[in-house]
Amino acid sequence: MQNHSVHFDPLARRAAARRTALIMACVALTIFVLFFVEALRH
Amino acid sequence: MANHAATHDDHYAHDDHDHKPTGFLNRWLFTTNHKDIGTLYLVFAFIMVCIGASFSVVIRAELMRPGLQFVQPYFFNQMTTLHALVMIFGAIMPAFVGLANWMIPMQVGAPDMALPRMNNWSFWILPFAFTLLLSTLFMPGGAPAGGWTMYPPLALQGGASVACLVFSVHMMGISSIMGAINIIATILNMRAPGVDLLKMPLFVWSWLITAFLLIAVMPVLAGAVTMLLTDKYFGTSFFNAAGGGDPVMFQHIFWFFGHPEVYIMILPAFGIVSEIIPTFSRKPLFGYQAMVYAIASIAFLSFIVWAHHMFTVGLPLGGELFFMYSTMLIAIPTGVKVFNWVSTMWKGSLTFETPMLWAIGFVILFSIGGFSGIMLALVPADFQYQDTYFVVAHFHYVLVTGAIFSIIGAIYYWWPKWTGKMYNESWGKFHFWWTMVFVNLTFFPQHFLGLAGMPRRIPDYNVAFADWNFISSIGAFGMFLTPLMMFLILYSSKKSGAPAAARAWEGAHGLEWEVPSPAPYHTFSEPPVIGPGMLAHGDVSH
Repeated sequence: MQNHSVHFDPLARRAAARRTALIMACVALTIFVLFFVEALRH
Repeated sequence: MANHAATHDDHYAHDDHDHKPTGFLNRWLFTTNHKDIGTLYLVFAFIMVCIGASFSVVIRAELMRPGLQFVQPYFFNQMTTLHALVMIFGAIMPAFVGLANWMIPMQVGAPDMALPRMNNWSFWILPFAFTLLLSTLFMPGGAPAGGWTMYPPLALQGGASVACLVFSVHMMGISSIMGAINIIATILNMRAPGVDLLKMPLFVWSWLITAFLLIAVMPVLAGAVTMLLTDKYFGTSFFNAAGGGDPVMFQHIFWFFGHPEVYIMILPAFGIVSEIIPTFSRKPLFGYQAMVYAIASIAFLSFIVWAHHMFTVGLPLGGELFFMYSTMLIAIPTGVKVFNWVSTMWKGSLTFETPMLWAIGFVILFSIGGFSGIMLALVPADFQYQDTYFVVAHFHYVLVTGAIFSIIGAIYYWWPKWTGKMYNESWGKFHFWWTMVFVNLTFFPQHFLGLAGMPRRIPDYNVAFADWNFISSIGAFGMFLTPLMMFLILYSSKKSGAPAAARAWEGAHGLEWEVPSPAPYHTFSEPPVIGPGMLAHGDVSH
């Protein structure tokens, strides 16, 4: 089966990569904030 | 030599017209090329290994005989702390990121990492972080001395070094998170047509999962050290019992980061060994999908075992039982991996070139580290082992004969692809056997010392422990020569090694072996068309 998740257009591929990176950065930041807030509540 | 097979069509590379930047600064400081950044990471890791090893020599020289020999106790504590920080964050992690940078784009058929400029930034933060950390050695009060785990209140009793430690850990964390983001973005978005997720090499899979672990836990470490910082300098009481805080909370937060961190340092090693063993067994990897699911299971379990590092702090019994059983569960997916590696070798046409020796050494010695890990997972037994040399022996078997063996194996395995030169096989084997002897001489006696009750992180000890400490120190001095040995072997290969074929190893499969050796500066500028037999795992139907 062919791989359908890959964007063959280089520009679309770059945009998708940026989107992934942004989501991951938000996840990391959220975890940092959550742990800090949770520790404050203690 | 039978193990070198000449191949191959070179049309995925733009060989001589590689447009390398000219000038040293342009090439190395401003580079966005994944191969250059991979090289930078590996060179940095090598320098850090040498620094970390020199700290360990101070430690072992002091421990060679009972009594104080060379250094004062406070300096000894600085050495143990810095040795761990440098080896974990400066050597092992950057070495794996370097290998990821070099190999992941080539293995998935991508022209580069998804975010090349961020890649440059990820690397260049690191030298500043470690300059800051190591500069504390020259500050009044010296370097951090409270252990790499930075437990308060002890860690907060340092001088200005605390702020430097926290800031350098922040920088390492930012570097790791950016590196992890880049790896995820590359693997999820830059694969060539036909490279499905379940056809990716195991090294790529192991790094994809590791990168998710990094994103999940590095912010936790950042949070923990930021709380240390505010406790010391801004009057908060996160971990100060007198102000209503709880020092044990730091241990929970730290080990919620710390245990996945252990797997961050071993999952890429699993990936590497899963590349090397099939190549030199001339057989496909046994149980490819099981290997992927095993890595994912280990990653999941790593989040629910953290308190096994804290059995003696006074956890409720139910908690101790939960963390004991969850920890022992990890033996199942790890056993799957070990048996699959052995099954891959079973009835294979085995040859024992240097990378294979390191891989087999990994499987055997890492398993010893795994077994002592199961012993440590048992709550009643752990009350005996806690804070003894048994723990030191355990994690050095996991990290030295595990992580570092795999890194060295990977360097020998992919060196012909990187440089276009073969190394001297006899010297490579000598390097392996020398290391094999001295690493066991160093760390195996530490099991006995720990079981006999010798505590860790102390500069002096009872004379009853003298003999095994002496042997352990001799082993450490022998180990200290191995980075130099490796440097000389690789340097002479680069200068005068025999040319390597595109497929440097007869049994090697995967996209990286489809490009010439040395790999051109730019590879896969056009996505490759995957032909039969080109992928290591699974074929493509067109």
